[in-house]
Amino acid sequence: MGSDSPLVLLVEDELAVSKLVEFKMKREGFKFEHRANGKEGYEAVGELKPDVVILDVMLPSMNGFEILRRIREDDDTKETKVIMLTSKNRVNDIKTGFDLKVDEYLEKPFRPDELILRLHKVLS
Amino acid sequence: MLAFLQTQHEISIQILWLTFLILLVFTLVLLLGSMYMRWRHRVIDRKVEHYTSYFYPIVLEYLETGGKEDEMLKHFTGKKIEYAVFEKVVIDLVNQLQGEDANKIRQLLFIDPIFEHHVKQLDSRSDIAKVKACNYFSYIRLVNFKVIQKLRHMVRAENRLLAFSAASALMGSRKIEHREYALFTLAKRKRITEMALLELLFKFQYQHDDQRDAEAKSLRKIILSADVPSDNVALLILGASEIGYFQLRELFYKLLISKERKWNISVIKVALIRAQGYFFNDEAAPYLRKMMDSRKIKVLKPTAEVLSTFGGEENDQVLFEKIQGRNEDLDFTIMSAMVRSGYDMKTITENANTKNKAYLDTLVEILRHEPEMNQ
Repeated sequence: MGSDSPLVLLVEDELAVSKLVEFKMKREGFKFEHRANGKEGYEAVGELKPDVVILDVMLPSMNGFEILRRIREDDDTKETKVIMLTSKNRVNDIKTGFDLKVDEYLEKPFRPDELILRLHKVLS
Repeated sequence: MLAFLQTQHEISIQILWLTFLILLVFTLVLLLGSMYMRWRHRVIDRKVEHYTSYFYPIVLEYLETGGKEDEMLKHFTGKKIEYAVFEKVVIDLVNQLQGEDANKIRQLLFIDPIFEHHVKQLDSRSDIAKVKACNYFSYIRLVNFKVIQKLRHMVRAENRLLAFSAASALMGSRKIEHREYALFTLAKRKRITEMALLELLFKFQYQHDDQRDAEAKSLRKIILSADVPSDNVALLILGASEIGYFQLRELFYKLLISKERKWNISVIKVALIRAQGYFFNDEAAPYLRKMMDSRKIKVLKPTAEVLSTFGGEENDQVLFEKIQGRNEDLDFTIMSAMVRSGYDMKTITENANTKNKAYLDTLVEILRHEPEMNQ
């Protein structure tokens, strides 16, 4: 993948997850951006127009569902693909995500290869 | 007289100056001290940041390419901070990863420099360093002979956190004698929190192969020991029943009906009653029905709940009879258990005394709406 490789924006405050996803994205040839809090993450969606947003649920300043709701309400961003990272056994989180039209979700702890698979799925 | 007053005045001025100087020196020392601490923290933070950025790609590359653990050694120069940061990176990643990936990264915690670093830390003068080392051994659940001897010694430490951490680490041993020693030593302490004791009991169960019978035997020994305070005995009875050590079912029933003073202390009695419920030991039902005559509300409540769990006509009859004609206020939970025993609520409220009727009316109202709330 070259200069027209898809841009992935990760909004996540856990350092380990961000390092892991960054490593994997770069290895797979994606362009990658990271924001560690909800407000900055939402602003970055508008500015960078990423192809895919990987969103954590629990975030400082604005939670993942609020970001997702705003993305879907804005005409400029409503088509953006979103993958949500939810904690294990939080069935309600998954339901809320689907109610807000999330494209995919992944439970934490997760396997990086599975994230890549879901990423390709939403981009195809 | 004037000369005397002048001398007094000069002495006062000198004392004031001296006080001023002392305060000035103290202020300067505090100021410089806090500046030094801030500088030191910044230096440490920068180092941590540096090593964090350094180790993440190395560990992730290892995960991706499947390198050997020993190859990691070349990345260390022997500084303590390197081990601390490396360990944190590995643990943080393990917590975020699943399955084989997590297991593969976890292997990095076993490499020699990390392991040896923590063995050395067990001999540190600082209790904090020792606790950290114990937490490491507790996390990797691997303790060898050399480590076990140190941990066994630390379980008796006066510092409760250190004693608990050492006991937790010992729970990683395959040999039950070490795990029993850790649990027994901590259970003998009067000032141990419920959470700490229950956590140790939970870790006491060996995960990899079946040692259930041996563990039950150890628990029996600890529970029957005269050295363990009543509160801890009660907790161990409750914990062991809830975990499901069925090997202790008979013992707990015998202790329940025992006339020996120790087993009739309220806190232990309540635990033994609840144990019958966890094991669903309806052999205890006749004894529990007799206990419904007790005036002790502490004992009545669990007894009613356990009888309610058992169900059956005889048990329901006792619960029903007990709710009628009681002049003292009954605990809401007891009434709840009685009502739940299956009797027609209207009959119960009509037969209850005035004091309890108000409670029961509320309870009936709540139960009436329960199906809607559960939907």
